[in-house]
Amino acid sequence: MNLVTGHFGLGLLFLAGAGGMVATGWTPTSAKQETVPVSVRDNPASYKPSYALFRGYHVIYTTSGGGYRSGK
Amino acid sequence: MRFAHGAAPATVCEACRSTVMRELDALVVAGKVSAFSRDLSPIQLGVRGSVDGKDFQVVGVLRKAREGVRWNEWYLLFSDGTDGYLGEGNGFYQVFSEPPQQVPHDAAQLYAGARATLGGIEWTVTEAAEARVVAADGTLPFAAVQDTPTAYADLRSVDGRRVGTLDAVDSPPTLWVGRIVPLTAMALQGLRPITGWSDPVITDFHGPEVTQVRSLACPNCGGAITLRAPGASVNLGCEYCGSELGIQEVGDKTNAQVLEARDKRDWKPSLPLGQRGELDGVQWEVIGAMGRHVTVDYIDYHWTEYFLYNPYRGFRYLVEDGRGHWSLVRQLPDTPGAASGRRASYQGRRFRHYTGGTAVVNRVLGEFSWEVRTGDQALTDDYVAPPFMLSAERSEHEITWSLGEYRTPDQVGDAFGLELGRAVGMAPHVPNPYAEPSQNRKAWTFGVLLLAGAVLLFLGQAVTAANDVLMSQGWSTSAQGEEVFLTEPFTVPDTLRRNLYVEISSALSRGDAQVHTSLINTDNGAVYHPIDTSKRNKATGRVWRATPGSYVGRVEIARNPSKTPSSDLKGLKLTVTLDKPWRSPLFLLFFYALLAPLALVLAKGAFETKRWSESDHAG
Repeated sequence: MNLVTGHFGLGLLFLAGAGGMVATGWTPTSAKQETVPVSVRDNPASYKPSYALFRGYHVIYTTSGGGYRSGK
Repeated sequence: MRFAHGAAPATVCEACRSTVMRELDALVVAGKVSAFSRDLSPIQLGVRGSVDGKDFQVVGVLRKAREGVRWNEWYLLFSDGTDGYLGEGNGFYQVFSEPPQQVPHDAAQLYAGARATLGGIEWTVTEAAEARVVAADGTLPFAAVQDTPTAYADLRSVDGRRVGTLDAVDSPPTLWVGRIVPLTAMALQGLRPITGWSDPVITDFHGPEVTQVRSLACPNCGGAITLRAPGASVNLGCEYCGSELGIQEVGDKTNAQVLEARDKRDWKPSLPLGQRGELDGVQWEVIGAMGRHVTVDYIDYHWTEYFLYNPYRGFRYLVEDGRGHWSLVRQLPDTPGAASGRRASYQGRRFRHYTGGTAVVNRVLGEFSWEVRTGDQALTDDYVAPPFMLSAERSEHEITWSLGEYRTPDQVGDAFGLELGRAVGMAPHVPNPYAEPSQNRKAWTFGVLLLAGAVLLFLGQAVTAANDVLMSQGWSTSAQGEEVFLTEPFTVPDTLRRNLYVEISSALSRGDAQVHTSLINTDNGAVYHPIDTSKRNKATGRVWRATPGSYVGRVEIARNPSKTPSSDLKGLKLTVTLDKPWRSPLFLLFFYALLAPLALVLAKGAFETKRWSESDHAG
């Protein structure tokens, strides 16, 4: 099998894979995730993110009050 | 003794070798002439054939010679009562079937390279000399006597399609107009069978086999030389001592005379003399080899030309360059068109000039049908249209064109049953491996098919995607303090495709604050951080296969401590969409689909750049 045919075969695999991913929503990757305890689930306002999880994030603020606002 | 043609003026008596001519009602002996040796040609008296829609029979033959050249003129009687000639020389057959015409012209003014308009045709004179009759047989068009001199001029039409001979025996001279025809194209019957040779097209033979090989002793070293093309060879390099010999015919015999004596032969070419091989369905025998070189920038570039012979097909050449690349070459009977400067054309193919120089003969071995001596020089120009090469050789009096086709060492080795060395580097006319039409067609076809598949996938996704906005909520903030916004709860349903497209758009600049986004599943505690806002505050992200359930979105504003933003309120909006079409892989597929054909285009171009970097026109 020469390179051109091999390239086409690989392309068909990519096409099939992309089609499967589009059809099922499956991907090999997923967004960064963590799990929080029930207390946070019940009170999402109390959630404190762990910035160590995030590429490119860095703490640039100091907490000096402020508050939580919900709604529009 | 008989006259095969009622109007023929002469014939040769086979018994006494006298040329007898008709004079009024009497027969007169004009002189003597040597017999035509049977091993000099596959054509013999009595052969029948057809050309230009007319049947003919060979009724006589004249063998003529001048310095370094010999040829045969077969006298033909056509079925319509006219006569003509079949010229045989240097591997070419020229048929003169049109009635000759007398043209008032001073033949003495003709010289090689001159132009003349004769019989309404514009000609280039390729040769003008005096030939003598060396042998004859059968019925003749004139009373040929041994060594009778005849002035002649060989002509080639300017358009390259016709050949001509101006015969100056009579006054005014007679112009014969003809064309070159392969022996295999004349439906010949009754040819002479030659021992050891057969042909896929010519199968009608008559008479006993003739061995077309002569032996002679080298006058310098005494070595037993085999003359493999006795009718055509005029020059020979002794395979034992390397001396250069001239071949002469004396009656039925062949003599050799030393032109340049040598002590020993120190050259062993890749294809030995006498080696036979089959190329393109035709058998060829190596009868000669010639080493040549050109000097460019004080560097000698060497190559070897092998002279191949087949008694029914004439001559070919195999050229082996210094890097092991091969070409099968044939001399062209006509002239390429538009050969000037950097361009030439031949039979609809366009050629580009590759290199030119002065080729010098440095070694000679075996037989050649023309005079070739060590030290001979010719101006050469090569034009290429891979896998073909058009070559011109200019000597003092003529230009010879030849067409070569690239052959690999394996092809030549397989043809001759030899192991030949691998080719290295580039040859001017080596085929571009990336320009092969079927491969390119395949690459583009496959590319288009993949592209079509990607387009179908794109359209299918656009049609079937849910593209449901689960939540869209906005806020206003001046970012003067850290703030956290929570959205209204929203539900991610338990469907097959549960990818969430999350978009945060904010009017806040990175100088003002950084916006962090999270999605919290209040059923199982899973928290997703789909968006990286390390570079800007307006971004998108995806959550693949999000766990179904109830969610709350969380947006946190982290203020830049070194700067106090203005108090102006700026907008902030978070949108979560279920099963939004995902286009990125499809764009990748678009690019991938064109990868192979584009790669071939680039590789083809790179190959051509490398090819031409070694030409006279590099840079």
